[in-house]
Amino acid sequence: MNHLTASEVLQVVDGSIVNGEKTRVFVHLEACPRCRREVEFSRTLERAARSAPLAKPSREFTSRVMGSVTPQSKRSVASWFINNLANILAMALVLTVVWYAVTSKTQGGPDKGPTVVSNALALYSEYYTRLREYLPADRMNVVQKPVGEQSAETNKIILFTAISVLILVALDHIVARKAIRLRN
Amino acid sequence: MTLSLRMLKNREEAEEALQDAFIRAFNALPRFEWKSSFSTWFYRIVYNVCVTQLSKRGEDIHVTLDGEEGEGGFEVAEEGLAPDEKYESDEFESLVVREIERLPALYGSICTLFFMQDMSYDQIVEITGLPLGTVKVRLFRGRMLLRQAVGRHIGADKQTAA
Repeated sequence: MNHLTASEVLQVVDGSIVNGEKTRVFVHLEACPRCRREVEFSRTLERAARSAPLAKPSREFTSRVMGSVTPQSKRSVASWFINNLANILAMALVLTVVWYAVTSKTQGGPDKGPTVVSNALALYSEYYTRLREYLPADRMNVVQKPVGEQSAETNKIILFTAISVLILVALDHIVARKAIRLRN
Repeated sequence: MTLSLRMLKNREEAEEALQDAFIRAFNALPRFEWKSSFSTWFYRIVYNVCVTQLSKRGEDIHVTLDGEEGEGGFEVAEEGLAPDEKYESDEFESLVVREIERLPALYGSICTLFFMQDMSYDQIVEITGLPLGTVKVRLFRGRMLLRQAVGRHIGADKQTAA
């Protein structure tokens, strides 16, 4: 009698025996106590292998890993700054251009020629003056003052914009990190 | 931990490898694209750290062995026949665990992923980076080695008892 091969025994254990072979293998198993015992033994063995307890690391393992990882998070402000250097530079550039455009009108020295922004502001200032001639004084409160008269307010707006951008970046940073933690 | 222990056979080295894997995973987390499952990705890191550790010892488990092309159709040897009595489950389980731990890293790693972590062939292929055929052959050989080792032990116990 040709007994089952080791491969066939494992296929029976896995339930992965191909359909064409199924009948032959099971007819043989009906008639052969040796192969039946072999299948039963392999099944018991693999059940034991699957239910074996998983190895656990020592108690200090978690604190050791956290200790290795913490210096990374301490450096995170510096690494965050480096990673976002391009964004920070771009933001600083935009703020500088805005600042220059606004202040060049108010400080207008002899070395500073007219710019597109300063021309626009001058035009706006001229319209404002003309408008004041035609409108009654009480309705003028609705119209904003020209830039030359509100440089302190402009500074405030720029400051608030910068603070808002910083708050948004900080929020994004915190929310993104939390999201990564949650996804884990 | 089980995977690194089965591969490196030394508790301290296994913990070190796992620690190294955790740090690598932590640093690589921003680059993880969530295309595969997180556990498969992490097991791959653990596996690679252990493979590097083994290659430092001069053991290269990625070398293809002779005859890894097929499973072979040999019958179960007469002397390794299955015992005809039942065994105490606790005793039997610890014997099986001991023998899995003794399997060479080559087979132990794949058997651990298959049995203890309940992974499919595809997942094992993804973790080890080995071709499917090699994974199947190594798993088959690992199971055969385990079966023979446990069978031998039981046979020896029977002789001692007699």
